[in-house]
Amino acid sequence: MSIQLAFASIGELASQLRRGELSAASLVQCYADRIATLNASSKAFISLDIDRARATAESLTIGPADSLLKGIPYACKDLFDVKGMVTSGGSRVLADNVAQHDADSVSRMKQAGAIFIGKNNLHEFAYGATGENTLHGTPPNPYDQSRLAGGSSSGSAAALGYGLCAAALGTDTGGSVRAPAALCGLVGFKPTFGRISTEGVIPYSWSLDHVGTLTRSAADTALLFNTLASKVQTPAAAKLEGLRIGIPENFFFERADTEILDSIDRLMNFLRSAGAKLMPVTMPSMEHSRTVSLTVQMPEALSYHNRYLEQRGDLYSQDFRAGLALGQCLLAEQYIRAKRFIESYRRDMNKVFDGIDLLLTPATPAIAPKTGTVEVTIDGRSEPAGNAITRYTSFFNMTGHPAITLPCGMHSEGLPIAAQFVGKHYGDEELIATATLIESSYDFRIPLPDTK
Amino acid sequence: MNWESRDSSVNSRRVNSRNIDISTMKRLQQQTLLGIRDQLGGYAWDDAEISELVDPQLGIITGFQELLDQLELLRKVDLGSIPPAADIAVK
Repeated sequence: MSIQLAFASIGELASQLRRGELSAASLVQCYADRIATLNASSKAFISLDIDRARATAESLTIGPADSLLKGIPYACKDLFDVKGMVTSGGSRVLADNVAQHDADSVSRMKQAGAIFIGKNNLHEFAYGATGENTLHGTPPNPYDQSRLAGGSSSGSAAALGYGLCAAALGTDTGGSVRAPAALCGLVGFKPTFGRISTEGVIPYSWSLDHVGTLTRSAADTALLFNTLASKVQTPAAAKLEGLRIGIPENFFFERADTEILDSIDRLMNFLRSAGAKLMPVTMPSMEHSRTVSLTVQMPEALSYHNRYLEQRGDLYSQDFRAGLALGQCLLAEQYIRAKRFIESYRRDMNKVFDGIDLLLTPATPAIAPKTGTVEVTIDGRSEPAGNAITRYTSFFNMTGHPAITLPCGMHSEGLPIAAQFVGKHYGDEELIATATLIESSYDFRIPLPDTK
Repeated sequence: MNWESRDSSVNSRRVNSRNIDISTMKRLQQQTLLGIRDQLGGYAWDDAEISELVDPQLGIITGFQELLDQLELLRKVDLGSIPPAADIAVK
């Protein structure tokens, strides 16, 4: 089976399936063969369901009235329940946790006819943006094996990046879908907070968790969103002429790799030439936004994991235990104050959106760091690698605005560069439609990784 | 919202409403966290884990003291009557 097939978009695969040029069974086999060859190096999957996927595929007949997802093999981060399979969270703690039901997202994918093929590696319980996992190994970046895929949905990004499935579901608490997608040359999307159900997904932080998607195109994102969300509206025809795009004056273009900024500049020039109005906007102060996020995350994570700590506490990794211990020592008023800051951020962002339709930022300030990198230094200032990876994404988990990251160029070091578009609350459909239009108009094509 | 705190220095003197000077916010002590563990309930973290929060050696997340310093700055920001964030209302 060809490399082209392994890296084809859902739209392309669906066309071939409908025309009878491709069978779902042969598509499953294509990915199964690649997983057999590449999973040891990509560390993308930590459990597989290939036999059931084959059986499902062989039983399918695909007609013109069926969902475009019918017969499409996909994977999910190992936080999602799939009935009869272990949901481990990438941890020894839940190595025997067999799900009794499908997560809501998995159930919706099944109803649409998509074929589940396995569960992806991740940063243990989604605690961390580097995607490192001491139990299962750290997924490398498909463009450079010495670098990180990024996380926490590291296995999901690697699975797509290595051509091992057509789409993947992940979770995004501070950028854990969008950042690894950006670092691996994929499209990452998180919806408006609450728009896709988190039922049946192991929580990390209820206030910030979003179910998101990793795909090869924004058009594919639309197909997944239409299946995963409720009450999806058909958006008005997207157009760039007159589109008001906010460009943050503060924070988002600071301390970033100059080649990333150059790529975003080229994208802005394209948008201008297509008739969009690029408007400078002043964002709320984000000086303390990481503090606010952390103050909410850790007590919430502790509150969930408390159920396992007494009996299985020794099975957690050392760094996650340290984070949970921190969550124990924060004051209730500090947690509540942080939640009030989040509400304030939301109100301020909604005011920003009064004058614009979309916001444009770089997706990350840096390209994928080398595996094992502790700190990233840009413009003379150092920060932990995980903080750098999610510096431009985490704010929108707090404000709850939908956001999508798209590749927009290649760095001279051979790594992808990506842009982030952010939409209004419940403007998911318009955001994805506009991203699809930009994707089709602007040359977002980047070379495929050399994965063999 | 104006994010300028009323007092941007964590180390400024802290005077309560009765005009009693309670001095500066002091550095977190391991004994304080051991007291929280032993007297307020919660999971029985090892002494070494508590120590890591006070004197980080492993470089795990941000140091707790740094976080507390930041939170002390945030405490001085007047949020008016803004409530904690909840679900996002459908328009």
